[in-house]
Amino acid sequence: MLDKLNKDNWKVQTKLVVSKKTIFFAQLLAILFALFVSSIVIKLSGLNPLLLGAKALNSTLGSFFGLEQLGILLTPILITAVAAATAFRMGLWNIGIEGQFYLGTIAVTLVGLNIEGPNFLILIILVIVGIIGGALWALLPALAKAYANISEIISTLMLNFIAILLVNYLAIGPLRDKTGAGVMASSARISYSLPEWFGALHIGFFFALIILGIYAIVSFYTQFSYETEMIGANSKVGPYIGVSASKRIILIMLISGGIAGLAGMVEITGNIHRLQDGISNQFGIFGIIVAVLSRGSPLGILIGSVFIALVLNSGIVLQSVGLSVNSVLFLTGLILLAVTCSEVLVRYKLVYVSQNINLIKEKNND
Amino acid sequence: MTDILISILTTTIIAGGVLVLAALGETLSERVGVMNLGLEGLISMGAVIAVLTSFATDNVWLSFMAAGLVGLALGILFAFTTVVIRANQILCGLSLTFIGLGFSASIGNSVAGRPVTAEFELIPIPYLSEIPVLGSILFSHSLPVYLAYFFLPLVIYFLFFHTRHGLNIRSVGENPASAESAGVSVMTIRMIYVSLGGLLTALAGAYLTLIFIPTWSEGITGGRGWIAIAVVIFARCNPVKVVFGSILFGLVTALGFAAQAMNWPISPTFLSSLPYLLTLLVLLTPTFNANEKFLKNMPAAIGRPYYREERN
Repeated sequence: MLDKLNKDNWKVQTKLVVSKKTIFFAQLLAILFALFVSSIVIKLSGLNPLLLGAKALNSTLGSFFGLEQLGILLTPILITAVAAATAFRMGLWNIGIEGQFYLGTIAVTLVGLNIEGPNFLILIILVIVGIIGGALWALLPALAKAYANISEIISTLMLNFIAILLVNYLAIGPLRDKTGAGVMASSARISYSLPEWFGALHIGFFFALIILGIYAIVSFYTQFSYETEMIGANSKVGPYIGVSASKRIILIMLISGGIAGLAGMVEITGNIHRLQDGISNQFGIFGIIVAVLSRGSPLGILIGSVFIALVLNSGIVLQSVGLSVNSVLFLTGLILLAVTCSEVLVRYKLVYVSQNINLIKEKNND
Repeated sequence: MTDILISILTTTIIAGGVLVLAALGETLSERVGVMNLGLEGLISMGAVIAVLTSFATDNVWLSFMAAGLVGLALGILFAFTTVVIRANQILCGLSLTFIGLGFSASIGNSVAGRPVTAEFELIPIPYLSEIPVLGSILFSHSLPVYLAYFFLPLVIYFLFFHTRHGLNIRSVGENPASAESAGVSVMTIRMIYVSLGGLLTALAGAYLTLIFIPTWSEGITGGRGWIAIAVVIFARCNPVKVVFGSILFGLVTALGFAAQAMNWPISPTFLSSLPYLLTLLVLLTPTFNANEKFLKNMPAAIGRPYYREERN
C-alpha cells in the first residue's frame, strides 16, 4: 500500500489514441473550470456571478434585440472559424484571418464605391472581390511557407497589423466621407447591402451556414480533404500520392484567406456598410479560437461559434454593472487556455510501475 | 532644429525602453525554445498593476516591483502550461494576451485616466551627461532606463554567450534532446527562463505607465507587445541587437509624435506600420534569396514542445 504513495512508483505515459468522447468531456470540463475560475474572480470583486450570468443569458436569449445581436455576432465568427479550420486541417497556423478579413472589407469598399448596377448583380461581384482580397493577403505568407519553409505564424501575424493600419489610413485619409454622416471617421456608405430578414440580422447569416455546409461536405466526403490532411501530417507523403506539398500549402492558404475575406465582405455589406477602424472587432482571432475548440468538426464549429458569440454578447451586460466591455476577454482567454491544456492533458495517463522495475534499478545501481 | 532633434531622440530612447524590456523578455523565452505570444497581455497587466500600486502606496519602486511580481506569476502560469503540460504555445500565448487585456481592463477601470504622480528620480550620469547633445539624449534618464538599455542586455548577452550555463540555455532552444543527453534538465531551464521572460515583459508595462505615459487607460499598450515580438525576430534573438532594434522602432514612435505635432507631410499610419513592414522584410528575405544566413541565428526548437520519449 505504501508503495502506491511513493512517487517513484508512478510514471506518466502518453497515450497515442484518445477517443473523441474523452476529448469532448475533457473540453467540457475545461470550460466549466474556466467559468468556475472567472466566477471566483467576479465574486472577489463583490458581484454575484450567478446573478450576472443569468442576467447575461436573459438579455441575450430572452429578447428580440438580444437574439438579433447574437445573430449579427455569430455570422462573421462562423465564417472566420471555417477559414481558420480550413488552414488547421493542413496543420497551417493562419493567424492572419484578421488581416485577410480587413483586406476583404477594403477590396469590397474600393469596388463597391466605384461601381453601379443592380443590387443583386453587384453583390455577387462583391463576394468575388472580397474573396480575392482576402486570398491575396494570404499569398505572400503562403509562398514563403511553401518555398522557403518560413513560419506562417509570424508572417501572417505581422500582416494583420499592416492590414489594420491600412484600413485606418484609408478610413481617415483617401476614402474619408467628408459629409460627416458616420459616427467615426469612415468611408462613404456603400450603397449595396445584403437584405435584412430578422430585425437587423442580414441574409449573410445564411451565407455562413452554407459555407459551413460546404466545409462539412468537403471535409467528410472528398479525396481532396483526405489528401490535404495526409500531407499536413507529413509533407513527405506528397510524392507518393502524386500531390505537390508546396502547391497544396499555397492552395489551402489561399482558400483560407479567401473565406476570411468573404467574412469581411459579409460584415461590411450586411452590418457596418462603411469602412472604418476596428471593423473586424477581432473576429479573426475569435474564429481561430472556435476552430481550436471545435477541432475542425463542422458541428463543433457551429456550437463553438454560438458559445463565443454568447460570451461576447454578455460583455454588454458587464458594462451595465460598471465593468469594462473588454472584461469579457478575460473569460475568453481563460476558456482558450483551459481547453488548450485539456487537450494535451487527456493524453497523459499515470501508470503504476510494478515493484520489479525498482528492484532491477537497485540491482543496476549496485 | 537641434532642439527638435534632441527632443525627438530623447523620446526615442524613452519610448524604445518599453520595447527593450518586453523584447528581452521574449528573447529569454525564445532562446529556450518557447514562443510567447502573450506579451501584449503581460505588458497590459504590468502597466495596470504599477498604476494601482502607485496610487495605493505612492512608492514608484514598489510599483515597479509589484508589476514584476505579477509578471513572474503569469510567466510561471504560461511556463507551466507550455513546458510542463506541453500545451500548444501559440494558443497559450494568445490566451495569455486575452487574459491580460481583459483582467487589466476590469481592475483598471476605476483609475482610468487619473494621472500617476509617483515618478522615478532622474539620475544624470556624472561627466557623461555633460557631453553636448548626446549627454541629454542618452545619459540623463531614470534608473529603469539605464537598466533596460545597458545593464540587462549586457548581463543577458554575457550569460548567453560567455558562460557554460548560457551554452546550456542555448542548446535547450536548439536541440533539447541533445541537451538532455548531455545532462541538462530541459524542463527546469525552460521553466526558469520563460517565467523570467514574463517578469521582464511585465516590467515593460510598468515602465510604460511610470515613465513614458503616466496614466492608465484601456489599450494603452497600443500593440507594443506585438512590436516587441517583431523586434525579437528583427534582432534574431540577440539581446544586444534587440536594443538597436528597439531604438529603431522607438524612433518610429517618436517621429510619429513629431510628425503630428509639426504637421509634417508624412502619414502617421505609415510610420506605425513601419515596424511590421521591416520585420516582414527581414522575415521573408530568405524566400527570395537562397542564402539562409538570416534564419541560422533563430533557435531551432522554437514552438516545439519537448517530449523526452520522442526522438526526432
